Amino acid sequence: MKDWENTLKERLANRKAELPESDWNDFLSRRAAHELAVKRRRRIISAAFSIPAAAAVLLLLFMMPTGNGVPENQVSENKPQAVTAVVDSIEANTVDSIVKPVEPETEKPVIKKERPLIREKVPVKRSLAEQEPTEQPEEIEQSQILVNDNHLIAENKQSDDMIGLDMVAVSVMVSKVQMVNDTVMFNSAAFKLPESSSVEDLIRKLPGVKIDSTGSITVNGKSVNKIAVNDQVIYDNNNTVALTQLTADMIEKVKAYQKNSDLSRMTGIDDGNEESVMDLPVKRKLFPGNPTIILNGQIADVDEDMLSGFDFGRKVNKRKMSRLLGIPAREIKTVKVYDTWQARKIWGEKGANGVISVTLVSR
Amino acid sequence: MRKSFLTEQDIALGCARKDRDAQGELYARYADGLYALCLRYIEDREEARDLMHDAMIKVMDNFSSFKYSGEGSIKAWMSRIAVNMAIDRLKNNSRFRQIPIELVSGSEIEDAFEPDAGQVEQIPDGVLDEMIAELPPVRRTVFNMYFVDGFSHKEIAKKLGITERGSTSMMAKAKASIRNALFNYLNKTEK
Repeated sequence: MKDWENTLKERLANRKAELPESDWNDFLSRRAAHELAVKRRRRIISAAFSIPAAAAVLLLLFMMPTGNGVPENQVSENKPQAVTAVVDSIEANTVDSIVKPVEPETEKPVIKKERPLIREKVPVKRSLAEQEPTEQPEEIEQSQILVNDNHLIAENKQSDDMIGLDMVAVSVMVSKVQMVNDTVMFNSAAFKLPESSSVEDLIRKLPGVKIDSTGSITVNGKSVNKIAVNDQVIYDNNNTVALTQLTADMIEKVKAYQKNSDLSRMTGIDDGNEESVMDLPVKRKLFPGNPTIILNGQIADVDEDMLSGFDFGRKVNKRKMSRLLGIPAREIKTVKVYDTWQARKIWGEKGANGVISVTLVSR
Repeated sequence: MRKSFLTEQDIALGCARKDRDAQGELYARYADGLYALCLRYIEDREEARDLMHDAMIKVMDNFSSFKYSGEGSIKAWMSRIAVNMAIDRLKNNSRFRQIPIELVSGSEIEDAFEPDAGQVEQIPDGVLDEMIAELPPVRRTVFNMYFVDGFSHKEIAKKLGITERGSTSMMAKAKASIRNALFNYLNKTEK
């Protein structure tokens, strides 16, 4: 290397750049956030590992020799040797105390009930329309290890043939139509429609339901008089408004039933007239209020107006979060939704309206 | 932050025990150097500072794996970590990826010109920074890795996903560009 190159190299290698005054404080807050995230990750990992670790410890305890080289069956026969004071000849009223036999330590972790070795909550995928269950540490913590001494050893012998499953997905067929008493219920999730289709489009797809050119609806041949939303009749004699104003993805079900006329309900005297009502229960919102957005383990500062105006629909995905946060979807690694109950457990009051946790692709 | 009189070894031992004071001292001594290193790789000052913070956190978290081997070993180890992190960031940067290696062409090389070491010593820091910042991203990275941070062409090739020959060629072109820039600067100042 030439002289000028050496000088240049040295200068560049030893160069120092001036940092802003607030840098140390910035770094401290960043490190605090990082440590919090690490703690949280460790807690999740330890919760995940606590089940197999506990099982392994129990297994070791059971597989250890029972002590002094005495075979197990002999120990059980000789249990009374640990009794310190039981004298047959002494009369009952003269006995002050009886000390119970001290059981060998190896027999301590016995749970009497004969139950499966490990019982874990299994996330179940119910239907396409429902939110996928989210991973959460609490589920793991709630898992139980139910052990019976003999049972554990027996299970262990079979362990070579056993295959551990991480998740079991159960697919459930969504029934299109249900009959409950006189009510016909159509499940809107079972009918695939393009986005932003109107209720009219949905109704046209329902079997046994017809809409004529004037907008009047018939269900199984009976003309619908009123349209209700969440059991409240709001579109009286004006079906077209309901059909065009409501979008199909807002509706959870379409219910059709017969109801006594207004007159008979008010007078309490059945006039024999019934009216046919079509009830449109609206889907529940995913979050009761503005959810908290967690970005890489830290609460993101998202504009409240933006959040309240944002339509999360029934399912939050990368595309929606990309739109909300203004981050390209390819830079989003994971999106997890915690409902209010789960979020409250993890984040306290900050999770009262649910939490959407977004992890970005690490650079 | 006040600087203490801890030796490098004390800092290393303290950081391995995750002692907060030692970590503070480590930051006070090496942060500005590490920031300058990050700035050589990443032009954007905020992004470079962000990278420096990340590198510092990584260094502090992994100090138990560091083996002290004399004066300067902490700086060298920290620099390696920061460079590796910078490369990972650059590789994720679409602008960095979009530049095809073969299209990076060399500039006019003033073969005859050889600057004097004394002249190079006199050039202000800002001008040197500008000269390096003007290099195309891939070429600049190769220059920084090979010329300043002591990576071999084999390591560079592996990290950047290019051939060793490509790395050598880019290094030569980068050096030529720097020489050109020095020539122009020195000519200008002489006038």
